[in-house]
Amino acid sequence: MMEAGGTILKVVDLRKIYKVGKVEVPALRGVNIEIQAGEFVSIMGPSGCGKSTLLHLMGGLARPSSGKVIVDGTDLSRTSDAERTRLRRNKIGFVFQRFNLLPTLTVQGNLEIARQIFGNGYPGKQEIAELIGVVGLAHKLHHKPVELSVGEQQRVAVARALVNHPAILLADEPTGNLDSQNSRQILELLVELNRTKKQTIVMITHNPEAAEVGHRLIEMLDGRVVDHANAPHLVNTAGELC
Amino acid sequence: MANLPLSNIFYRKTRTGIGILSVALGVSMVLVLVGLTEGSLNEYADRITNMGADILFMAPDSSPFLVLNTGVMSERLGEKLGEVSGVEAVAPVLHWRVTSIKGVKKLVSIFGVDLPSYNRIGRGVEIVEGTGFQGPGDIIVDTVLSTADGLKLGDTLPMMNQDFRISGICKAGAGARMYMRLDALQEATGQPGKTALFLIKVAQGRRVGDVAAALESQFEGYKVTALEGFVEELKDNALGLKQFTRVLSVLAVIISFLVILLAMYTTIIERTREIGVLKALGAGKLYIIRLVMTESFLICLLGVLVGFGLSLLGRALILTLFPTLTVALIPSQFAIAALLGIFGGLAGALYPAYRAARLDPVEALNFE
Repeated sequence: MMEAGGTILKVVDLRKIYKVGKVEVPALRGVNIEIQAGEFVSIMGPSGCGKSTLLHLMGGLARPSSGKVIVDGTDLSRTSDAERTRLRRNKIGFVFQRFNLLPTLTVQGNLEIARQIFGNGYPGKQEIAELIGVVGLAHKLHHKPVELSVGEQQRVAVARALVNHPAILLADEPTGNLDSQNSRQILELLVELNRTKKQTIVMITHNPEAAEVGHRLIEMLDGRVVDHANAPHLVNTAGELC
Repeated sequence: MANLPLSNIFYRKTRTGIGILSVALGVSMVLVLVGLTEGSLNEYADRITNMGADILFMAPDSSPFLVLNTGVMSERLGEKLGEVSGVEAVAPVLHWRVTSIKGVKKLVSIFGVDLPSYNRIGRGVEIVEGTGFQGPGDIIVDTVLSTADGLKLGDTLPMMNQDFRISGICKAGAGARMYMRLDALQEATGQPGKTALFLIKVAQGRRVGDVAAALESQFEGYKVTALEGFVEELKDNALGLKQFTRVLSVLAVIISFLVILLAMYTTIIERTREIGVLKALGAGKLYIIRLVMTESFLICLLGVLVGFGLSLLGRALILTLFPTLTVALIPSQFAIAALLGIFGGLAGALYPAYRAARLDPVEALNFE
């Protein structure tokens, strides 16, 4: 984990065009973002605005059509598949909307497999216990995902994302499948991680309340970054996204 | 310690079970069928070599499979053979076979022998119950046939349009399963004065090879086989045996290949999202390939072990149902069958593993 301060993630004129048959569909149309180490940044926007694509490019899961994604000094747009895999392993932690825990493994197994991929041997019981303790599920260590509530599954997913001590935690709609109470718990957990461990977090969300927990809010529309002042039509009279 | 391949194979138990069973069937098929072939061959070779003769003397172009030969040599040729230097004893044997015993279809070999000369050759007919031949209609059966078909002393056995009486039961493991008087068999089969082979005992102190060479030179064209090399000659002459074994081996590999290919292919499709997650966590292509291959290896390994168990079970079942058959489960065949099962399975897992490794992480994560 990085100490606060200094640019940890920089996106420069990022573009991504998907080809659907012979038709080109632009998902990102020149995005520029700079995130400091230790920041908690929320990215908000309507469906199809390109925020998930942006997250995938930031995490090295996909290659941009043009532009740059610089993670901790490494330009992902110029790296090979293997180098991006290595970067994901060493610098990035992912939390997904649908938790995506491996169903055949226990909570402990899900954390161990992440560490196994990290390639630093198996974490000791103490380290696993500490990680799972951070998300408040020490008593569920030997449970399988199917035996956990959705909120608990997402907390395990957060713990798994932290196994490799990532420079950046990328959360893709982490509260999208949760009720209000579990959503609040997950957001509190992320805030706590950011506050106490200076964990850099980039969170994508639909939820304006969720978006407010970050230090900074980036709003997107049609593949571009906009702000409230520039895009008032995004928010209705009740302050909710359209 | 998290073991994803191990936990995966226990997750879909039915599919894993079918995969294991299919590999096991391939393995046991190789072991039991090859074992049955080899076993029958070895048992036959053992029974011939256990007679104690040193040399088999047969008509030109005869087969080491005595069942294929018939009486084409004059019985009197034995006298001339006895005159060859180094020959201690000669016993004529006429071979025949019947295809049913008490109405039950089975191939049973019969030796027509002159007991005194046959017994001089070596082990001879070791009577364990009853007596030798008391008359031309008497027969002797060995203990295996007696047990398998419930044949007892004094029983009448109709064969070759005649009724024969069981006068004795002999120890199994040498010669034929059934014996009758040479003249009786010659009469019954319409080959008076004829014999199919001569068993020859070499005098003590004389080398079998030298005597065999002397016989070959004096009786040109006749087939002279030293019993020492009989097993090898038998296997060399077992037309199609090697091909049969190879076909079985190829079949076992193909079965393992196809089953594992299908099982792992469907697994990969089902686990597409999980593979996406692993890639998001930083798993490289090699890690994914290793994961799929390890899972396949475990299924194949379990399949091989179950296959070994099935083979032992199959052998026991065959021996119970058909006591006169022999299934030789040869240690080297276990190793070959294991390698075939595992090799076939791993080959089948290669394409699914490659496909999994090449999955686009974003597409995999969005897979429904």
